[in-house]
Amino acid sequence: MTLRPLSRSTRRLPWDAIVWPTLLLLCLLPGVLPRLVGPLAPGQPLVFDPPLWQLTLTHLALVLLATAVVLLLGIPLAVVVTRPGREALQHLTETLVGLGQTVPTFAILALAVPALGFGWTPTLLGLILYGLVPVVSNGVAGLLAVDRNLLDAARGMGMSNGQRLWRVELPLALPVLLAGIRTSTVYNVGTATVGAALGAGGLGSPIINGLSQQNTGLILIGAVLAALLALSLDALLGLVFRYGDPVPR
Amino acid sequence: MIELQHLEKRYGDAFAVRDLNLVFPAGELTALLGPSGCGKTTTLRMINRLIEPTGGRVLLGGRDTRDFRPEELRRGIGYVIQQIGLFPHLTVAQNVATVPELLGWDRRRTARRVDELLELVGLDPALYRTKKPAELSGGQAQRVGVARALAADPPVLLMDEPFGALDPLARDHLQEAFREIQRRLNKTVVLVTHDIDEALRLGDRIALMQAGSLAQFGSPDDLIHRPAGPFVRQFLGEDAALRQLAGRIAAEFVRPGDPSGLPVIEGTLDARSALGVMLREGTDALAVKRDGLLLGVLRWEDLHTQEARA
Repeated sequence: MTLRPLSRSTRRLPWDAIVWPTLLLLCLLPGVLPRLVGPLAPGQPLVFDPPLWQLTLTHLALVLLATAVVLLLGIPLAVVVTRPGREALQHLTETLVGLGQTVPTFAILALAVPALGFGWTPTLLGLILYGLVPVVSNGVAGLLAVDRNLLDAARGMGMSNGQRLWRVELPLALPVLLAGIRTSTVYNVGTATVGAALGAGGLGSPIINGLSQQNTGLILIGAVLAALLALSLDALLGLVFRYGDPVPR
Repeated sequence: MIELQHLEKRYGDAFAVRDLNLVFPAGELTALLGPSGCGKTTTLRMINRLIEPTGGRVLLGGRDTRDFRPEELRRGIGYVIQQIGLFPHLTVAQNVATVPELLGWDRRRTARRVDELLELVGLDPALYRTKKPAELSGGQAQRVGVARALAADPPVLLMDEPFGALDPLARDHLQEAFREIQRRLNKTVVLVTHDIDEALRLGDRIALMQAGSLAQFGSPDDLIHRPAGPFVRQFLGEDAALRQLAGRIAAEFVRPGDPSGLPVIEGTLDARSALGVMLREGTDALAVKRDGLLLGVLRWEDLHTQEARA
């Protein structure tokens, strides 16, 4: 009896990776969203300066930049604390990183402003602290889940610590790690809307403006675009990562 | 040749291995046998320095293993473990190619070697090269494990209960296949096992350990017929001689003679079963045939004095 990995043709077609980005792009065409939302908020002006596509790009840039820093910090951190003999450090890290999630983002941002001023810097800090949680905890979980016997075999065959990490541990931890990266990125699309309150721009701007002007239409537009951006990123990352799973299941 | 000199491993006040002196002869398979906790695995792992000894030393071909970098040392020693330890994210070929790749062999040489080894362990390269470990049965996976350990043609092979996780049928097949391979390659093999039958079947020599020390070192015949003490006798059991017969076939004991009137058995029958036939038939000789041809006669005293002929 042999188990065969699913052939690509029998895999589900990635509808979500087509549908959500298409909807997002449609909504960004000038006038489309205001026309759709207009009837829900009669008599309220739906004007944007800068235009919606620019707000979306700013938002995306904020999220991707934060994710990049999260990866640069989070993955090495997960690797360092999972080396043998570092159990205490590992628990400490998980506690600290967990704190990042239990403290409300808004509080982090409010605390960051006096130190860092307004704009991108405090927003990025908040996004990074928040985004580290799933990456570090999934990274640690993925690395710890690698069968000890495999590591023993790898060591016994003469792999150095580094070779063991790159050739055995990281490839096997990858699916779990990627799931964490996906979660982190998608969460941060939502979290980044808060950045508008600090003057970082992005899709939070129409929401904040809508709140202060009691303009439901603006709030809706910001929320719809942020949601579509999150769904699109989730679907696209899912598509990329599906081929990152090295083990047939 | 592997030589252990006053080898010792202690954890705090407890000795896992104590003043162990042992020579594993080159080109032979030595079974490191003993009950669990006797220090046999610790001893094995001290040879390739997965565990560092707290005293004494290990000589490999006359050189102290501490003269090598641990990684360099291990790349020169084949290593097979019970849990097989194939990398699930790599194909069979990539698994077998692990050590050649670490040693920096070029692609073509590695590919050729992989095919050669898969054939050696009885797996068709064209069929198995690209499979992932999850697609293999336990027996096939351990064949790949053996191929992987042999990849860089190391003179020494360390095996830690290599057939322990397999079902009895697969274990039988693989032991037989491995015996055949060893007959051709003549590696210096150290095989850790707690299975007496496996030690008797595969071992040219047996090192029986007890509580971190050597209880007896010798050929299977030595241990069975000249046990060094009550522990050895007890560990092997009263039926040790029978167990040894179980690992050999009737044809090995056949001598020319007059088979007329004797009960007939197949030459491929194991010698223990042949003895059973003698008891059942109330005779002390059997006619042995193979492929329909009479090979000769198997006599009780030949089974009894098999040591002389072995």
